[in-house]
Amino acid sequence: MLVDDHAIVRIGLASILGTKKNLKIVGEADCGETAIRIAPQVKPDVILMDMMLSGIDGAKATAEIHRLLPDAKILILTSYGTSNGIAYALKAGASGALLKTVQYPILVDAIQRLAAGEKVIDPEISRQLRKDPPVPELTERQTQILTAMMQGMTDSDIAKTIGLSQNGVREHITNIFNKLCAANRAEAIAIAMRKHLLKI
Amino acid sequence: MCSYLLFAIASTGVFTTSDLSRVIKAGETDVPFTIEGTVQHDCWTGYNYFAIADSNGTVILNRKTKIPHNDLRAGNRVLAFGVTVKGERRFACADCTNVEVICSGKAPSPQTVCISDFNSGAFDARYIRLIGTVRGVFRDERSKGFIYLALADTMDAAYAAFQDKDPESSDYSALIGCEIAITGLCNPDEGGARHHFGRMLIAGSPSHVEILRRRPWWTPARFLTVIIALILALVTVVAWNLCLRIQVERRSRELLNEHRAHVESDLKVEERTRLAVELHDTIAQNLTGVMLELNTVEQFIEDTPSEARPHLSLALMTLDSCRRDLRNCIWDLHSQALEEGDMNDAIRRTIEPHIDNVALSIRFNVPRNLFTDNTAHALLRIIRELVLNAIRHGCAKTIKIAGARECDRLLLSVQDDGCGFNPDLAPGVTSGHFGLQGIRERIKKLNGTVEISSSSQNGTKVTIGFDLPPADGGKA
Repeated sequence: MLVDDHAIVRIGLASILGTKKNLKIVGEADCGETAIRIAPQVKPDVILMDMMLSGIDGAKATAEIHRLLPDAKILILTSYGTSNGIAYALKAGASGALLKTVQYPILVDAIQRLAAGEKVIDPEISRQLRKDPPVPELTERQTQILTAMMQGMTDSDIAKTIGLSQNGVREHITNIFNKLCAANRAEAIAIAMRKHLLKI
Repeated sequence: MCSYLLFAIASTGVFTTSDLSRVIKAGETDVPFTIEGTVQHDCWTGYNYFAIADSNGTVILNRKTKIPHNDLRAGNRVLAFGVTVKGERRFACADCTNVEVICSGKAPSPQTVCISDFNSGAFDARYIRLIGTVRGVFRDERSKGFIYLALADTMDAAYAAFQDKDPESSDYSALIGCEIAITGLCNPDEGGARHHFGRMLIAGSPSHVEILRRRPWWTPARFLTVIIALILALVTVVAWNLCLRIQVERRSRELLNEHRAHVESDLKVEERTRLAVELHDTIAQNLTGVMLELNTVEQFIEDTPSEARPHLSLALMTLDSCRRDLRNCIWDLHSQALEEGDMNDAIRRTIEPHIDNVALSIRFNVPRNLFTDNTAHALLRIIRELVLNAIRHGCAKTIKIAGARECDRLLLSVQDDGCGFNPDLAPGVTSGHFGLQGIRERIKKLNGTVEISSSSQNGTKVTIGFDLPPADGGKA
């Protein structure tokens, strides 16, 4: 089963995996919600999961699908080796993680090894995870505020937009700084960008 | 002359005040006299001069100590007996050795005199009440217990003195500037002679000084002090204000610079983010797709080339799409559309390079500041894609673009008069048509909806809707 919000990637994956006789695409989803909905129906052996999805992201979808289908092996396919979500996805039940730039034979091999119960993690991703350990997960509210900060909103703008007091917003921002070990907004946004914590 | 006078006096037995004055002035000594008159004031304790008046005038006598004070009550009609003497005396040179009270009477009221009249000599040896303003207070070191007051009015100046047994206990400098009335004897001997300042009035004690009007609080010195204090305060306030202003200006400049730096930094971060997302969502994904398709081609190319062909076509078309996306990205980098303050101008700037003979109508009635740059950029890309589709595939001659806000929701419609198409049968990504799919993906990211209605008669209308932030939210 393929989960990616870009049709061209799903089509490409379907094409190349379709050349293997022992692989069959049983379902496709363009977002986390759809993936969670159809996975129990199609009961895939292996799910290729993109990390950056609109709505429910890849990490959350992984956790949910793993809960629904503990036997399904989930392979994270991501554009970024530094994504903070990879660590969560692996913790939440993903069996492997590869970059989208992976060579075709390695991808096929990984799918087969996953199906056999192995774990496959791209060396680049494991190196990044060691070098740049994941930061604590932000709450939904904190993500919302960080996104607003990145859009250049002031504290009062954010407070009005999300219906909090300015002090409440400042408290959240302080917590965000603490979680990300950031000294100011620019640094917090930079870290969040590097870790792909934000949906844009 | 003198013998004649003495004869005259001896014949009458009693001197008049004028007779006695003349004898004293003539320097006749040891002349016994008797004089009848009224005592002008209570005899001063410790001070032995007193004035006695009759109808001819007043004379001052020196009281010998054996005379009881009670006999010399003011108003007493007395017979005074005495003898003229020689010597330096402050007042008269006539000693009164005895007094016989004829009757008592009402104390006479001293006449009130101004300083000019006092200095004229008309009141010499008289018991008077002198009015003047105290200009100075001092003590005479030679005669302990005497306080001297320098008096003046607008015309003239004079002296007054009185005796205080305990002069150290009082601060007479407080009298300076006060208008006073002082009651005492006008010294006939010393007027203008010993004191260049004017004649002198001798009073008995401090009780003879009556303050008529206290000195005004606003003395020139005080006035000057207050003016100087006010000027100093003003100068201090102005200087402080100046310092504050300089500090505020410096801090404001610093804050402005910091703010500019932050804004520039934020703008850079925002722009880089937008560009990164754009590249990720378009070119990076398309190139991944191309790579996968070419991998597929590689699998088929040797054994079944016919199966490889559609994948090769798709890879080529995807690459073409990549090239267009890249061109759009570069165009966006050069474009000032996002800097436009009005969405109508931004839309026009975005699509005008792509249209030739198409009638364009743009009515976008939603303020630009309700959108973040990301949203505005997504909207402009969607509109451009729809307009290009209408021109390329629909051969439209008229395109209407409208934007409105309804219940905190943006509704965007792009309508053309082209040949229309069946949305359900429209070629998709597998056929190398990425436009509609790209629009759907962008709308999905905005949590929006898209509706397409199309017919060959009425052309195509694409309506897009998504929630706006609250009215006063968003990025100003």
